[in-house]
Amino acid sequence: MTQQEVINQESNEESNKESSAELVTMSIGGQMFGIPVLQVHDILGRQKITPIPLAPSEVAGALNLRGRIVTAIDVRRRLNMPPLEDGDEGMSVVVGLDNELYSLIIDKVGEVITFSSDLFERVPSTLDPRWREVAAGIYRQEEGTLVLLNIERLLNLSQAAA
Amino acid sequence: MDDLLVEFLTETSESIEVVDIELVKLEKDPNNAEVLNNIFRLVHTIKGTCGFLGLPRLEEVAHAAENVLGKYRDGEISVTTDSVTLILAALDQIKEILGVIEATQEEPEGNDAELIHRLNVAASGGSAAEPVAAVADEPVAEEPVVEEAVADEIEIDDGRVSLDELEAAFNAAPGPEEMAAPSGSDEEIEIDDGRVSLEELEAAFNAAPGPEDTANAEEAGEATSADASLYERIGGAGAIEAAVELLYNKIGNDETLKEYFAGVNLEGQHTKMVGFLTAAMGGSEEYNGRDLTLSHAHLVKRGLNDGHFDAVAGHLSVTLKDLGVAKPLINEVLELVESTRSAILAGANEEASDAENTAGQSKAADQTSEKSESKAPIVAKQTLRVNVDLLENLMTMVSELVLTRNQLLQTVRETQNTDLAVPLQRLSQCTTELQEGVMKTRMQPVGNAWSKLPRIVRDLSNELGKKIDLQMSGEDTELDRQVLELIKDPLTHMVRNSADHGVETIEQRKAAGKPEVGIIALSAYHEGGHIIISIADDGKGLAVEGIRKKVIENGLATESELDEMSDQQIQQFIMKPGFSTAEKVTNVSGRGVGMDVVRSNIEKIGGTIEFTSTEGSGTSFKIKIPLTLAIVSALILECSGERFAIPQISVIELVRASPTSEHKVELINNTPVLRLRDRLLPLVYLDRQMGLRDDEFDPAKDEEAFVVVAAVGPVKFGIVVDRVFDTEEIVVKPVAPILREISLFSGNTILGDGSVIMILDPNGIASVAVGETIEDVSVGEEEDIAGSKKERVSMLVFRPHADHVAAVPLSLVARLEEIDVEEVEHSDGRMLIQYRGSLMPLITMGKGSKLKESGRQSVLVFSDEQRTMGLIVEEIIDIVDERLDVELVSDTGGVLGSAVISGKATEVIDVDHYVRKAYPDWFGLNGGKAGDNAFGGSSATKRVLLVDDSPFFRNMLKPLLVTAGYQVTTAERADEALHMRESGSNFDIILSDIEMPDMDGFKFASEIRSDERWQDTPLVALSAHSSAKDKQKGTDAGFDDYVSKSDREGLLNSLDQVIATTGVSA
Repeated sequence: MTQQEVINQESNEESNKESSAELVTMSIGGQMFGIPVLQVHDILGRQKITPIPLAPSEVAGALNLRGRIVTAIDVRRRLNMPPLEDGDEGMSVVVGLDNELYSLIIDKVGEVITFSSDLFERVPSTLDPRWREVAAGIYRQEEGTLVLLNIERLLNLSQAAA
Repeated sequence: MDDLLVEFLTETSESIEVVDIELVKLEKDPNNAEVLNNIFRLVHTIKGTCGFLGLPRLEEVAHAAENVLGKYRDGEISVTTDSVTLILAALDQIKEILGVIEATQEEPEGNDAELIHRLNVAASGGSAAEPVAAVADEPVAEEPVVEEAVADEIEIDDGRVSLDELEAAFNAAPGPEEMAAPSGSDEEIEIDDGRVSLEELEAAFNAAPGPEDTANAEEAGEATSADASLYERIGGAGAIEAAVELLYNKIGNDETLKEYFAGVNLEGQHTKMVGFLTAAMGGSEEYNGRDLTLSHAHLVKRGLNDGHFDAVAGHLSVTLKDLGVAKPLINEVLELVESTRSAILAGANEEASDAENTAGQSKAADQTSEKSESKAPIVAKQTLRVNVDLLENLMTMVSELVLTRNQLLQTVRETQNTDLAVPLQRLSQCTTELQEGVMKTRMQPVGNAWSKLPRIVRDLSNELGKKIDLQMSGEDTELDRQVLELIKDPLTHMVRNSADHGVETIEQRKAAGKPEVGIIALSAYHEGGHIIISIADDGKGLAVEGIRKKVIENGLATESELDEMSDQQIQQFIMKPGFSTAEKVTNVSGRGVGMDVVRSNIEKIGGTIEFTSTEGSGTSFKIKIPLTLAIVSALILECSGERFAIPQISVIELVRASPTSEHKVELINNTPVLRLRDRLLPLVYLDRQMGLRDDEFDPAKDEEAFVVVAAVGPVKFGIVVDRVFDTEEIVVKPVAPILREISLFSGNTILGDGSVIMILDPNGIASVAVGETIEDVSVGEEEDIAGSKKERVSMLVFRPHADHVAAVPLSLVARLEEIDVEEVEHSDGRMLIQYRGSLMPLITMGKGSKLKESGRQSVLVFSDEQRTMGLIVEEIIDIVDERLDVELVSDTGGVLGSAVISGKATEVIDVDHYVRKAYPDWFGLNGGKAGDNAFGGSSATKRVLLVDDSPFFRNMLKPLLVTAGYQVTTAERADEALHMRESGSNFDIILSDIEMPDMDGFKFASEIRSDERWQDTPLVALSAHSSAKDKQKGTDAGFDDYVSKSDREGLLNSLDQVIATTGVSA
């Protein structure tokens, strides 16, 4: 356990200087994810999305959010997960990056939960390879692991050939 | 950065720009006093402000330049190219220094001694540098001349000076009253009205014994410690007196300040100022602070303001520097003075207003309470400076407002809510006006983008040894600031190109018979929602040969491809990436920055660029750009259920194409095209291009479609969409970064109903989908199809009898009829039928072809003016347009040969044969043999000689001509025709094919023209090719006209015309 403590300590120093993190939690394909609450601009329900031809496949399209054009990203696609069942519309979490807004389409939004930094860990090698690229770390809970999302890497899409 | 510095940088940059332009003007018009004064004033102000801000390096350069300008003004030296170049160099140096200041907030290290030296040499008339002559040369009044100063370099003595030295120096230097005579030589530079020159003072100092040398060291106040008061450190009373004296001299000579101090008790001011400074610097306890304010009160009343204060402070700074006061000390003094600024201005205001109030004038109060420049009589501008970012924000807000307004309008329309309608109408109006107003604030005259060009052209002319005149018109035409920024560079590039590659050297021009001075003409005007800018030169134009070579060298096209292109098409290559014709890449037009970059820059802002060029005469570019980027008019269209927008500027027209309408979509080389008024428009199927639809294009299957005819520069093409809605004003928003790669879209927007739609980029569509093919197919006016030399002919395909397929040129068939078999009569072994009032013989085609027993029979009717004949067929299959290639010429009567029609081998029938079966004399008594007017017929019947190697075309055209009333003789080859000439035949008109073996049409024509027998016979060329070039060639060879083979009407018209105009008879 000593090693664990050391790891915890280090990750504590690495991550926010605060002793806890407030995350908006969400689930995609049964897996829990989290985004720091300060990075979340909006939570949206079903939206009218205009598909964009020739866009990378992860881009679901564009939507109008109070006068701003927001690019909708299908996170399931992004994480190479099968699409939602028909009829299930999913929800969206709107985040910002470099002055642009992006709407991340996920399955369900959970609550805003405060996690103690003690629970934070760096990305373990055992983590599902699909999340490894976009994970900034994990939080261990009894219910399971919650993957902390790195928005920048999440939005770093492969360019589809136009 | 310090506010003051920012403002300084902005203002000085602007002033420098103006000086640039004005200098070029001055060079052309050296006697223009107004321009010269303007320049002088600007440079003077720059110098002053530099001094005030403690920027010595800049100040020196400006000072030196000012010297030269002063000499111009006084007429002591003349405005020469060299001296102007020198001043321009000084300006450049200033610009450079400004740049460093902007970046680092400090002046760069080093000095500009060399430049200044040259300027001084120029100012003194360019004579060789001589040691600074004694101040003694000057007719200085009473004071004994101090010394023979020998300093031949200009040093700024930073050391402290003694009281005596100062006084000596001050006395020695000529005062304002003493107008020293102009030197005319040496390095003594008199500036204007006898202001003390730097050199003189310095010379004086250097000559005067320094502190180290004299016992006056004590008095000099060796106070190095900061404890010593400023007063002592600066040199006490003497220094202050000298400073103030010099200061007021300067003020007295400053144009802008002079006015204020005119009539003022300068002595009084002087004393007060000395008193104030002494006190302020700690030299004395007694000072009545109000004195200063009082004494300045009336100045303030006159409108003394910040600007003047600045100027005075500037002069003070210069003065102190002139006196060799150390910089840190100067700064201290300035701070002191600065601290009085508000006091003076405010206090004096108070005083003034008090005084005025007692007199009861509120006018003064208004005046003094305002500090705005608009009060100053001199600086009476009605403008104000606004931060550009502020305007940007305003613009964004207004755009949002427009969008919201649109949404509201939409909602009201839909819900039919009349209560809201009226106020909404008003809101809408206000919004529109607001939008227009804000857009106007961003509008700037295009002249701003041109401002640097005169200088550039001037420099280039000198560098290249050419004479170039830059003419500008329409510089007041306004466009959006943002757009202006973006076109500055492309414009500059093009002008440089014109100067470098376009305009020839003086000798070349003379040799070509052109005036020595080349012209580059810039013009701008509004058209629709755009601004058109043209750059034209009368230089040597674009050399097609040179371009060809480069194209081949750089692998942009093969020789054979180039052969197929017209000159204009070849010239277009200069816009392609990877191209450069400069023999050597010159400094002037740059390296690797080709026209393709210019084009893409222009297209990025939604503009287009095209050009025309004639070798020997010049080149002309035309740029069309939208007036504003933010809000554009766009056409909303629908494709595969999704809506898109396309900028109106790119849309030329909308065409509805369906299989049944005259605008049909056809396939050529497997590329779908649309025939539109004699042009072939390559088509792009938007749904397929966007991947919304997979299948291949099949004209038979597709029903009606809408074609948006778009243009990218000179290239036109059609975009096929499902539906077209209407035009809307949309606010363009850039696409998200991840989508930037998609060249198809140039942005996206929100429509009135709140939905997001993508904005199409025609350039992107053109390049992604069709690429080269578009240019191949659509450039030019002709119907030339890439790679095809044969005409396309409408053929009627039919079945004469079972299992047999035949075809005949549709143009020969008069009508398709169905007759009732019952009505056929038999007479004299022939079948006849009554048809439209006369008897029409019916012919069957070969064995196996026979009349039906009963019912109706299809008949192809051939006719000329009097006679008709019907060809019995079993079934009419189709009418197709095909490139006709008659192969396998047949011996069988009645069949010309076989051709591939609709993919099947088809017999092409010989109409001649059948028609003759019906009427042996159909083609006239001669039966087509050559000869003179043998049947002595009416001279009204014109004789036509038809020369064409293709039996098919001979057979097709002959009946045509005969039907039109001509007597036709045919020849298979040119020499056959010439043979006829030998045997004495004559014709009224000769029709000749061009593409013939042995002797082609051109040679034939020249041959005819060179011999007197047929020399005057009208000669018309027939060809599949009818480009402008070919026509020219034809005319050159001797043809009177040039007609396309398949253009039946055109041919007949042409014949009529030519005969009419030449009126030749046998």
